[in-house]
Amino acid sequence: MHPTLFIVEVLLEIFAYLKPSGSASEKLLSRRSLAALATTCKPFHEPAMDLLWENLDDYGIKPLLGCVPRLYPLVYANGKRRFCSEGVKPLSEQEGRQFLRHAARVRSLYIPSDKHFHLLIGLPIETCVFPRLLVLRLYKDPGDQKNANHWHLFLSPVLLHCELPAIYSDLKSIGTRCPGLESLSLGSATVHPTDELLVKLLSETVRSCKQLKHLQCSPLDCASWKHLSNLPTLVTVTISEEYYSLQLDPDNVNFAPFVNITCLYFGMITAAYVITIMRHSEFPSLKMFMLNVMTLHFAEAGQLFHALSQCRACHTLECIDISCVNAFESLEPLLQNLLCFTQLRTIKLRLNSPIYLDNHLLMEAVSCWPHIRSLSFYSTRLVTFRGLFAALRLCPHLHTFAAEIDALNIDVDPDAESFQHTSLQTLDLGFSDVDDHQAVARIIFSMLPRICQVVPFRNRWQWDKVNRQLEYLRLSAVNV
Amino acid sequence: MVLLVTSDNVQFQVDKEVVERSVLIKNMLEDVGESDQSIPLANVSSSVLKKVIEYCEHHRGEPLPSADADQNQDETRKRTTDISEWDQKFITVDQEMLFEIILAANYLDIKSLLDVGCKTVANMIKGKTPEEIRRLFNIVNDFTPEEEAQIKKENEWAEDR
Repeated sequence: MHPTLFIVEVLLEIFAYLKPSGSASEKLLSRRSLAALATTCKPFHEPAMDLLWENLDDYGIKPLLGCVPRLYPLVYANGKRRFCSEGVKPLSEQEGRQFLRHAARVRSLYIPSDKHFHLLIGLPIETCVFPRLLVLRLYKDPGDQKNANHWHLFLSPVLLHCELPAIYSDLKSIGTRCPGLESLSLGSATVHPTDELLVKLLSETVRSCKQLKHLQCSPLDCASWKHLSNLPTLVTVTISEEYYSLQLDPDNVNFAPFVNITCLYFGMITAAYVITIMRHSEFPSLKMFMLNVMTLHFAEAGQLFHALSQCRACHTLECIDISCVNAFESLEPLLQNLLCFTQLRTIKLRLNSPIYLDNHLLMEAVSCWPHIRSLSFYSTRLVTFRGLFAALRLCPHLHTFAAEIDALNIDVDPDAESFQHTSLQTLDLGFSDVDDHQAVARIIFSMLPRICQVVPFRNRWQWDKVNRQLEYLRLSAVNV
Repeated sequence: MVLLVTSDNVQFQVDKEVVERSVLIKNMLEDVGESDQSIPLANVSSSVLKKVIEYCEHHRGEPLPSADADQNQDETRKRTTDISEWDQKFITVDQEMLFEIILAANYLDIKSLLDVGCKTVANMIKGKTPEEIRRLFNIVNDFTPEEEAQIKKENEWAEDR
């Protein structure tokens, strides 16, 4: 054996290239190779075992249970992959030690179900099963509570990333047990009988975390938001409201600026909660604001846009993406509130009622958004081709325009125009009507050379004629 | 030019730009400043240094991995065992020389060369049984049959598709 293979750092470099990754067959080949190395000789054993057991995402805790001689024949019986632990006695003290034999090597773990947890009932309460675990992802039937008190066994002091299907009482001090936790995702599956308890538990859980960078959970109470507003590490927050609706008392809201948050995503039933947050906070680093809401009344939309414009993100916000399922009723201008966002790259407003947009407002908007790349509204059909091209002259980087226009009244003669916009690749004209398909095709062909097809939402038959004409013009140009 | 002296006392005059692909030598040169002093490489023989210089010459001017390259970058790099055509031809040497190059790359701190060597060895190992690996690298099995059986049992899950 060459002396090079006795140098641990070189061995680690070599074995690192055998770390399971890629397709299932590549992973299998890597795991087999590492298992072979672990059996080759003693100097190879530890580094190979460390890498082999590092990631148990595809296996859960089954490999550890297989280290218990009593369970081995059950785990691997007849090559069957599904191990049924129902009716199997919990681990004894000595078996607990066998179970833990390789647990310290595990750095990433996905547990698809808690069906084997009853076997661990004998482990001392203070046991940390995976002392070096960095990533923990759990999935279980949220309605099943019989094993809900075992999650603490899986928390390691070095845990960085944790995904849980719901909020559990034995995890409310997760931030104390895992002081470096950076990413926490808590499913909104209802665990407790009343919302109040759930909100309190969620609040305690979130407030125990002092190093969070990414948080995903159900709506939080004021105390949690206040805690988060003081976390300089926090970068992204995702709030999804599914099973209960929470309102914040505006008189009880007192937040510090969320200095480093760059991305906010809300999935809500109504917008009131979001409006309160945005009204009472500053987000001086915010780059992305996304809201998906069931209902957004016109008054709320106005309040929301206004709050957004007042939260100190005017020179940082690059993406606004707001969509709602249920319509509001007014067509008064709303866009003006968003003209202050000078760094905007993407704006997507799908509000199920048309946003007021005419040539003048479109021109004003793109003058304020010199970096705009993607513009997507459900809008009134007041913008004409002339207005569209005047706006396009001001946004040379625009690659997507999705809005309704007035394609019936053609006010541009392509033969008299020398302008071409060479960045626009997607032209989605939504509900726009079209009559003179030949003229429209000629305008698009001459002035938007990268548009091969117009994407319609309605009047497909009419727009198909435009698209066929576009194709004809393109082929004719090639043949010439 | 920099003067390198190998363990078998052979001298090599090498361009500074070429030799500075070795972090060890770069640091040494920074420490001694402008000087004609030769650099002794007590752990590298002339035949191995010749190969190392050939590698550094070929990759002259390519960006060096930064010292503070984050872990993600390192992880991404390790996800592939692909080796470029030239490197593959370069590293097609007998096993003794392959390990000597790895040893030298590790000592001289030439990350990209160490990667090429280690990838080559990893590719040689891939898919082999313990017995085949032992034969390949002339390794003595120092496990007892019971120990070997125990390890195989514990790692049986790794065979699962």
